[in-house]
Amino acid sequence: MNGEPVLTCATYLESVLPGPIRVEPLTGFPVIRDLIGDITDFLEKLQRVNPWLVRNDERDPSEGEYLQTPEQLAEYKSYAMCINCMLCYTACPIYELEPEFIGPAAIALAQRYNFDSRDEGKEARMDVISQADGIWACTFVGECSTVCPKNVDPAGAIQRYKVEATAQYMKSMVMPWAKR
Amino acid sequence: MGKALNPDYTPFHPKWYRRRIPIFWWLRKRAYVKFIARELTSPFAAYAALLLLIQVWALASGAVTYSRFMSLLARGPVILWHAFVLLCLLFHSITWLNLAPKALVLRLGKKRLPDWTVRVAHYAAWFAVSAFTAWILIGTG
Amino acid sequence: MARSNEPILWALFSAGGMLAALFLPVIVFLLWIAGPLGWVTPPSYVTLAALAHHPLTRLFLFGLAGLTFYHWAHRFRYTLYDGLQLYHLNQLIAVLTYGLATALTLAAGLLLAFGV
Repeated sequence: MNGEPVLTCATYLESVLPGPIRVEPLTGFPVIRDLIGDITDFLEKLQRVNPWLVRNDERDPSEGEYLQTPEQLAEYKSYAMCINCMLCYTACPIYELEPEFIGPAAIALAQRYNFDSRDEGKEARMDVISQADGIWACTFVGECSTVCPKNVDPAGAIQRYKVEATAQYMKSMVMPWAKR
Repeated sequence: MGKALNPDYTPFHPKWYRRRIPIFWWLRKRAYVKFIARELTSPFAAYAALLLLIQVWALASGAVTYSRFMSLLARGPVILWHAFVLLCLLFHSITWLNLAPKALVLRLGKKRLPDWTVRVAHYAAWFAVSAFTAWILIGTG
Repeated sequence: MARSNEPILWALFSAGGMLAALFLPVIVFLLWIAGPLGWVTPPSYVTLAALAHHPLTRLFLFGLAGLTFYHWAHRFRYTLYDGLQLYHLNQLIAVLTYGLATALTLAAGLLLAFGV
């Protein structure tokens, strides 16, 4: 709206008065018609990062739930707040310039599970994320976090991932025999 | 609808509009201008590193060469240029240190340290490093 | 799919960026503004030459300069790639930037090892 990625459902008219108001479809996605964009690309990329709890050993339901302390929840809570609104994809110039870029929300959601104490799927996600079209396409413009209506901070998620990927890489260089 | 969900098909769907990105896309939004300005500080850092090496070379080439180098440095336009370089480097430093908490999340025991602690620590390091360097450069004179 | 080798480049970029952020401003200010303007009296030529000759100084300068060059190369490459949308020149830009950074770092190494 007026060139800024916003949730129109959460924007009060009085904040954009006096008019005129310009409403456009989300940039970065092909426009099917009027204001409808095709978000298939985002959905496909989201699936790639395994956005679910991955366990090597599933516990039997009779053993009860996987317990988690409030501190453990706090680790990933902000990343779990993502509502898949894709404002971050619209704000990200890299996504529009390089459509192969996996994008802020997908990476933030990957981190949501990486930092979840119940998850064991970090390795598989790293294979997908530490690619030229993954985190390495990101140049830390930071607009994704600025426009996020839920304060998910995908930019932070991505930078932390870069640090982690680099640390993993160095470890595998120095100790290739170590289990990843 | 089956066709629309095929990710291989959608990039080439002829009827769907994809806007062309202007060459100067980054001039459209203030945030993008700041981003590009921040990125463009890197040549100035490289220049500073290079000139520093040249100064060391001049130093090693004898007093005459060095004094010629110094008089070049003292010229008005050169000083103005270096003032501009300094501004660019300060912009780099400030933007870089401000973003440090995004990459570095620290924990004290179980509690996550707030972002400002990481930021303040980095600025403190910057101050300490600058003070030490200043002492080395002028204190030993 | 094997993981990208980008981490090495990003590590160089990061280290260079941090060193440049911490050290360069005070160096530029003292050596090229305050000194020439007479706001501070620089040390004598002899003292400075001795300082420059010290192995620690030379090692430090090598690290600072080399990493700054690689910081520039990585950042500039992406600025050209995204800022000017030069995707078709990606290989060329990579070779030119990292190549130049390597050449400059080598030159710095030679200078600091044998010329000072």
